[in-house]
Amino acid sequence: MLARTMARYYIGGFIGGLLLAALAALLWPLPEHHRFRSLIDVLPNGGRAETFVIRWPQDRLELPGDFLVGDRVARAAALGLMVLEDERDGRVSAELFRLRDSAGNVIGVAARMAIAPPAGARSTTDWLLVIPSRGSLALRQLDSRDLAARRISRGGASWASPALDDSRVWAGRSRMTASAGPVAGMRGSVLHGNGEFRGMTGRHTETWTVDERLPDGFARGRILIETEMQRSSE
Amino acid sequence: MMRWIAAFAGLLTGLVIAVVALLLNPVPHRGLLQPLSGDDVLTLRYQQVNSRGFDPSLPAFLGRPPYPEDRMPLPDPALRHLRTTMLVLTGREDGRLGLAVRTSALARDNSLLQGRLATEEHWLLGWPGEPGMVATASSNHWFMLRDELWSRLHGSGVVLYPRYLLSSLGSGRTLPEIAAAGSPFAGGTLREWVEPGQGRASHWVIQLQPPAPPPPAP
Repeated sequence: MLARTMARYYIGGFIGGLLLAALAALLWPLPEHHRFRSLIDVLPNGGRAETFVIRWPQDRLELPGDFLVGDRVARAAALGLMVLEDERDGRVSAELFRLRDSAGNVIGVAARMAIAPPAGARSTTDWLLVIPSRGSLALRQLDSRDLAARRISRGGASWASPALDDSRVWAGRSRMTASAGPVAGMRGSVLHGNGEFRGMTGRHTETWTVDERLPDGFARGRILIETEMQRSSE
Repeated sequence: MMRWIAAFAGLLTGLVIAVVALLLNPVPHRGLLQPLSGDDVLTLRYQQVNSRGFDPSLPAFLGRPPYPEDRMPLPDPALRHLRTTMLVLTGREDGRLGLAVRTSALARDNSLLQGRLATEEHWLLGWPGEPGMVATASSNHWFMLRDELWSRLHGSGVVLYPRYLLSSLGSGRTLPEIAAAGSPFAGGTLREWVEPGQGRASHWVIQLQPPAPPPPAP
């Protein structure tokens, strides 16, 4: 009798253990991304307009560590910048930034990859905007000039993104449209959307604005990425 | 008293068996994507060294991210569960170098019951003189984290398998995809796995494959 009672209690406990573990696995509060309210304007054609902002230099994402692969890869960790050159002096440079909405909230990260052919022709830039709570948006543009990072030797730096960190670009002006195509009106195009941006098509404009010129030749300012998008089925 | 001891023993046994069953859960296998094959597959290797943000460890997936200073956390609330990496890709066949930015965000549909501890991967890839590529994929770290946990409990420090597939179906059962206007890989797919270093640095491998050509018209 005692053995049967013990067995009943053991089996009850066993089932309780199974249920407890299953409930813990089911109800464990897995982390979620913090989301700010999306600041989207609805356009007359039913599309949507959204502006993203990057403040430089403070939104540059510094990276840790050291990374060298031969003499054709360079990185400027403090700038969140990496550059690769090939034998014909073609360059590809990658930069990382925090991404803000138009209210100034940090909502994601932006990666900029500029690919420059040899001989100073205009570069092509791909932007990847990753907003963890919403998805990602990839943009492509023909640049208005060569905007891939290049060698400089000033202020202890050896590489710089030309317009962001080199005030020679800004002589006589404080605003520049970085995008120059392939869409008419100096606009780039939406390349790909994921998550909330899946199926989006549209265009964008990238504009750089200088707020302050620094004595060491660098500058402070903003990058504005203004998008106009609609679902491809709309 | 004996009855409660029996119940407690049953509870412990049930818990252990449930946890083992959870760890041996076959469900995650169904979402894993096998490596690509074919002459048109581009295989690239890299070491993940220039990362910033959350560490894809079990505590991080469970909402207890360790943020030691040398990891350079991203303290902004919207970036707490995000990791971004700059890396140099090396072609396995020709040794050609390329640059990539990889951004990993905790997936929004993770589930312990379904064996899904995944990140949504967003890739930006570029080579000098070629059109860039953007790729999105989903990586399920379940098996690697499970075996790391086992390895720690066991005290061996040895990872069980020489290769862990990461690429899996994404939320909504989406496949990895490549967007690359002007490149033969546009519309193609991607796979990724990690080769644990067994005490040394691990290597990651990604494969890119262009879409299959359309069948010839009858």
